Order: sequence, then C-alpha cells, then structure tokens
Amino acid sequence: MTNIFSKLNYTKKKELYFERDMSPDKSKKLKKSIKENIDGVHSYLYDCDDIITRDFYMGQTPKHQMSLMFIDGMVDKDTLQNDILKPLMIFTRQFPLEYSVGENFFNMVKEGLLTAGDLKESDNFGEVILGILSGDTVLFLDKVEKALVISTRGWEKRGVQEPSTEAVIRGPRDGFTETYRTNVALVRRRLKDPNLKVKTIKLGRHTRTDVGIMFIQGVAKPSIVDEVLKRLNTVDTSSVLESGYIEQMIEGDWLSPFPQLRRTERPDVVAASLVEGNVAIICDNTPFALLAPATLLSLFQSPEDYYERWYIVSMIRILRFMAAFFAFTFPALYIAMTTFHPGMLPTDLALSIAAAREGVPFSAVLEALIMVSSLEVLREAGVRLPGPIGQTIGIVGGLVVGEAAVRAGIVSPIMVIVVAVNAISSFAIPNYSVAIGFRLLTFILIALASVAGLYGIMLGLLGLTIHLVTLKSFGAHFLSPFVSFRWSESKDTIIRGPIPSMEIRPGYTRPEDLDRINDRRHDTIDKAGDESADE
Amino acid sequence: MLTNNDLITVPQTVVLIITTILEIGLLSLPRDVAIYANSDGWIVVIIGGVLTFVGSLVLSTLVRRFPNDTFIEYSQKVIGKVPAFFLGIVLIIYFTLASCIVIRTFAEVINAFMLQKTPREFIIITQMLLTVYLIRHGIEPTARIAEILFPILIIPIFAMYLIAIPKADFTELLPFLNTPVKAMAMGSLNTMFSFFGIEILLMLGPYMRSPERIYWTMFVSVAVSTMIYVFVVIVVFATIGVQNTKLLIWPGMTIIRTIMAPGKVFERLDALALALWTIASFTTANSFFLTGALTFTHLTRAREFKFFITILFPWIYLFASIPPNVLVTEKLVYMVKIGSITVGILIPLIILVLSIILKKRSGAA
Repeated sequence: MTNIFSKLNYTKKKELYFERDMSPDKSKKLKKSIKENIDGVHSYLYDCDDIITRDFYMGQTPKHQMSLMFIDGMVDKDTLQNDILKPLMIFTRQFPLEYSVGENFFNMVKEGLLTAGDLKESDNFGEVILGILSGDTVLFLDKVEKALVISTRGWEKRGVQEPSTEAVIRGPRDGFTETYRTNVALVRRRLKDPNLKVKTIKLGRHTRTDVGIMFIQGVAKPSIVDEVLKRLNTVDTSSVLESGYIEQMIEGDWLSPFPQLRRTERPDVVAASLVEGNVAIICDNTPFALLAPATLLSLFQSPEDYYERWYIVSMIRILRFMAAFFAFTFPALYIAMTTFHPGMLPTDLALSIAAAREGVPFSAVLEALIMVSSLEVLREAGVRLPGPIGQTIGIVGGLVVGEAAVRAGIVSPIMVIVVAVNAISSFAIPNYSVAIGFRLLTFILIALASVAGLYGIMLGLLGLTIHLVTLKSFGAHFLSPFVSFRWSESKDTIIRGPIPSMEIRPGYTRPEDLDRINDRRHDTIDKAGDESADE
Repeated sequence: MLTNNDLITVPQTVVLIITTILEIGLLSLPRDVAIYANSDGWIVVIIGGVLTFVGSLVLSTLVRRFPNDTFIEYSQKVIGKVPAFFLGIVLIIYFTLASCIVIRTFAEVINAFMLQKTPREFIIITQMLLTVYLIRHGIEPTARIAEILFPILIIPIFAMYLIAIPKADFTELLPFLNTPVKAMAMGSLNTMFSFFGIEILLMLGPYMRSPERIYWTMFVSVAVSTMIYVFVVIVVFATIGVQNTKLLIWPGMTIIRTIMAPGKVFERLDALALALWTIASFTTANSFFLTGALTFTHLTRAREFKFFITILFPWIYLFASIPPNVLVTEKLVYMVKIGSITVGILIPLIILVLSIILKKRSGAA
C-alpha cells in the first residue's frame, strides 16, 4: 500500500512541476515570419520590461527585415554595437545586396557578415529564450525558420581578486569570481591538457544555473566521475544560488557534522586536486568550487603546504592536527580533569586551579558552557560586522568582557585561558566548514565529560572514530589513507614528505594513472655539481 | 549470506585478532603466571603462546578446508544437521557470555579506578550502545576500526610501561628456570586462556579476502600478542615484584597507577591508561558481539544480521549485570576462558578429525 501511495504522490508532484513550468521546451519550433517569432518570444516573456527588441533593416532598402532581442544590462554593449549592429547596418549600405530573402541570405549573414566571435543557430523557442535569459543576443531574420544566438554575455561583475577566505603568504593571488566562464578559464589556464574535460549542465528550475564538472580524463577514476554526474542529475530543485545547495544535495551522509565535499575559492587548489584525480564542480554565481571526493586530510590542507619546503610544512601540519584535537576536546578535558580526576593533575596545578575557582558561583560545566557559547556569539557578531568594527568586537569581547567577567568573579581566569586556546585552535583549521563541525563537537564532548569524565570523552571520541571510519565521500573512505593503509601514501598525510618522494597520486581517488613524479632531478643536479667542481 | 564485498584483508584480520586477544589478559595475566611459575612467568607466557599457535592450527586448517563456510556450515556437512545445530547454540552462548564478561570486567575496572560513584549499569549500557553503533555497519568497518585503533592502543601502552622501566629491578626475574615441569605445564595451559579471542576465526573464514594465507595470519597474530604479553609480564614483575603481583587482582593496572609522567605533565597516568583500556575493551567486545550475531545469522540462514544484534543486546546486558561482585565476575571470566579452549580448540579438533576421516571438504578448496 505504501508503495502505491508513494508512486501516486510522485506522479502528482511531477504534473505540478510541468504545470508550473511555463518556459518552452525545444519542441516548439520557430516560425517563418519575423513578426510571429517576436510575438512568440513575447508570449513567454511578457511583463518583462528589461527585454529590448530592436527592429532594423539591412542594406539600402527595407527589404531585409531583422530584429535583435536581448536583455538590457546582461549584454556587452561594445560587442552589440561593433560586431552585430555595425556590420549589419553600416557596412551593408555601401553596396547593394544580391541575395534575396531566405536561407542563403541567412547563411551569408551568419558566415560572412557578423563579426561576433561565438554564435550558433537555433530553430526552437526553448534555446532562443534560454539564450536571451542568459545574456545572449538573438537575431531573427524575416522569412527564415531559424535564429542566430550570438554570445554577447557581459554584465557588471567583480574582477579576479585575492580570495579572502583562503589567504596565503606564498602562492598565486587570483581567486574565483562569480562568473562561470571566468572560473573555468582560470583552471584551464593552469592545465593546458587536452584531457581536461568540462561538462556543463543546468540546474534549478528557476535559476537555470550553469554547473560544470571538470576532471582530467585518464587520471580521474571513471566511477567517481559517473557518481558525481549521476548525483548531480538527481538534483531537482527550484533554485541553485550557491554551490552550497549542490553540496548539500549530493553529499552521501547529511547527518554528518563534516562536509563531504571540499570547497575552495582558489583555482590553483582546483588544478592541484584535478591532477590528483579529483572531480571539480564549478557553479555559476559563486566563487566557491567543490571538489570530490573529500577526505579528512584534504580538508586539513592549505595550498601553501605544497609551495613551502617540506620540513616547515610538516611541522605546521602536525601543529594543525594538534590544534584540531584541542579545538574540540580542550574544554571537555578541563572539565573531566577538574571535576572527576583532579588526582591526575600535578598537585601545584590542581591547587592553583582550585584557588582560581575560589568564589566562582557556577560549576565548571556551566562556566564552560557560558564561555564557549558567548565566544561563539562574539565570533558570529564579528563575521557580520564590517571589517574594522569586527576587529573592535573581537577586542572588546575577548579582552574587555573576559577581563571584566574574571574581575566580577563570574568565571575563573583558567576557564578564560581554556576557552581562548579552544577558539584559537579552531582557527588553525584551514577549512571553515570543518572548523564549524569541530566547534559543534565541543558542545557534545562538554556534555559527555560532565556526565562521565574521561570515560565520557572516550565514548565521544570512539563514537566519532566510528563515524569517521564508516563515512565515505563518493566511494572514497573519508579517513583514507589511514584505512587500508599503504606505506607509499604516508608521505602526504600528517607530515608532508619532500615533493620528489611523492611518486604516486593518492590512492583514495584510485586514479588510473598513478605516476605523479618521474624523478629525473638527480641527473641534472649531479651534473651541475660536477661542472662547478671542475671550474 | 551477507553482502559479498564485506571482506577483510590479511592485515585487517591480524589486527582484528590481536585487538580481540588483548584485553582481559593484559590486566590479570601477570598474576596468573606468577601464581603458577613465580619468576619464570614470562617463559610460561612464551610456551603458552606457542601452544596457542599449535592449537590455532586446527582452526586454520578448518578454514583452509572449508574456505567458503563458517563453522555452522561445515559442522553441518561433517556431523549432520541436528548435532551441528546444538553446536551452533553452544557457540552463540559462548560468544554472548564472552561479550558479557568483557563488558562487565570493563565496567568493574572503570568503577574501581575511575568513576567510583557512577552506576555500573550506565557504563555497561553506554559501552554496549557504542558497540552496537559500530557492528551494525558490518564486518569490514569493524576490522577497519581495529586497524585504526591498534596503533592508538599499542604505542601508548608501550610508552607507559617504558616509563616504568627505570624503576624496575630485573633481579626479580631470577631465579631462572627453577619451576617444576608440572607447574610450568599448568601455567602454560592457563596462559592459553589469556589468548581467548582466536575462536572468532570460526565465523570469519568466508569473510577473509585471502583465506589461503590463514596460517601466516594466525602466526603473526599470536606472535605479536605473545610479545606484548611477555613485555607486560616482565615489566610488571620487575617493577612491583613477583610476590606482590600474586596479591593484586589487576596488576597490569596497578603498575600504571605508580607511574608518574616525565616532566610532571600529569601526576598519575591511571586515567589515561583507563582511557586506553576503554579502547582495548571496546575492540574486544565488538568482535565477540559481532561473531555472536554472525553465528545467529548463519544458524537461522537469515539474510540480515542487524536484527540479531537487537536480539542479543538485552541478553548481554542481563548476563553482564548478574554477577553481584567482582569475585563472581572473575569466576565467570575463568569459566569463559575454559570455554574458549573448548570452543576454540577442542570442538574444532573433533570436527577436523571427523572431516578427515569422512573425507569431507569444501568444493572450492
């Protein structure tokens, strides 16, 4: 019974969808008369005052009637003037047109007159209207059942700027913008490889957002590419305004606190990941690209990890992992130690903690919850406020209020230290989404520690381990390469080995072409050394 | 019966067996061998390890003869359906009791050393819920967890016992070879009890990716466990003395209470050790609970084993709650240890001998 009902529901939903969907499909063919075509477009796009229709004729006599349709503000005026209107209206005046109205004339305009770079023919209303809405210009000719869709997309947009969420000290400064084509080009510029494939689909019934999948054929594992495409095709939603919509609709486990796709603003990160066999999803209208599959390690990496020398990076990575551990366990450990196992602390420390807590009216748990929550509020307030004020909030909140709270005897100074270490540690995680996940776990661990001390923390950590071990992102283990460990992959984990030693690509994507580096460095270096010695 | 891709590799099998073995033995083995063999205790552990390996050959040979069957299926082929059914029931009871004593001992230790006022039932229930959360995912994730937790467990244990070594007095290990043969033999047999856990192989045969390497797998598992045990026994003997060891119920834990971490970071390490102990106990309970549910699944020819986890859950909780105090628990532990020899070596030996006499073997061998 339930089956039948669910089926009924489904079909009903589909019908509703088609009823509401007023945009034409490709089966609706264009007409011969220019008047009918323009009226046809207007029958769909009525009450859209930003549509501009420009009727004109070509040559010396009004025999060749044509019409341009575009949306004001979405087309590049220069292209429109210089590459479409000028050749059609000015150049053709200088000599009489031999062609009669019809198919031949259409081809002459298409192949011989228009100087615009990118155009294509269309014979149906679906493509024409989508073209107009995407910022293309449509040229109708009289007595022809076809139209030309000329790419004139050009609107006010932000230029390529330094990404603000993934700043680096060393590394390229360009970041993605809100324009799909620009973003794809930024990646393409780094990978001049014919095997770099870009597949574009449109998602969102209202937004018709361009979503592109990029991968390197022969490197990316076909099953991962298929899986990404399959999941993207299941997305049936009214709007895709940011890649976050896609991320949440195609990830495998939506109950997990961890993101299962990696998001980045940096084209160099996308290029590096593509070479490692990942698949990138680039979405129009957002500077954030998605990378699949994600692993916990990849979420802990910063692009700089590969640009700096390996000793430094290895140390930074170890520190980062320690920071991540403290980012979610430190308040819980403090509570467990002070309330359940004070004997574990050195006597001096235990005494000074006890002295500091003297006069504090709340239990350690309540104290921790107050401090951690207020810190989250401060952080949120700092994000919302404009730059300079945000910093002020940080200083006022962190220093002034903290100091005042200690003076007033509401919290102990040691708790301020604990929460501050906790907060600073969470900022050391490069990926903001992961850092949020860990912050969430802080609260769970505080609750467990307040119930059962260190045992509670162990329960929480083991539960987390089980979750992480069973979590998969597009078929790859989230914890790889630590599960089904291979020694050759250990060089790019918690430490980062020297680049020449990383001979194969990571195994979690199981790329077809495993070789990463063919180390011929030693030949040349040895020779150079010999020569200089001779001199 | 279960999904075919739920297979475990050789390293995964090794760590699964080792983490299953390493649990109760770590706590009480030094006392047991001290009682039987005094300062020769560590030799007894080595002999016990060798005996265990010899005993495990029976299991390994059965896995080789019937690579596609669990114990339930091959015992049916060898001795017929009805007797095999009863053997299956025995196996279920054994695995249930084994999970019980693991969880109960864990609760006792936590109650004694870490959370004196927390109700024992709370510890039992939380530990069981964690176990259920894991084993519902299947065999391969359980093995994967063992793989991840093994280094996290072993390295700190070694580190902690190494910290104890400066205080150690190795003359405690003398006199050397001064024990009568009979006591040695008894002690070795007793040590074999500390290797209980290898019998999970009765059910894991068909889930191994390469059953042809079973002998190697067993050798590495038993050898590594023996080495860890010998190390622990020697350090315990040398640090607190053989005679003191005999008096303690969990000498392995007591020694850690005496250690102070270098640099005065922690005053005592016992809470840390108990945190590790949570891992050790968790991995062991997982294996027994999982094998128990697997046995049930194979016995009833069911497709889905998650259901049987739910069935076993209240029974394990009940049996784990029954013993009134730690002494009764220790008696139960002893009974299960004897059961482990029966289930892990004696019964498989009978089946093996019968299968050789009757010339029964799996077609795909």
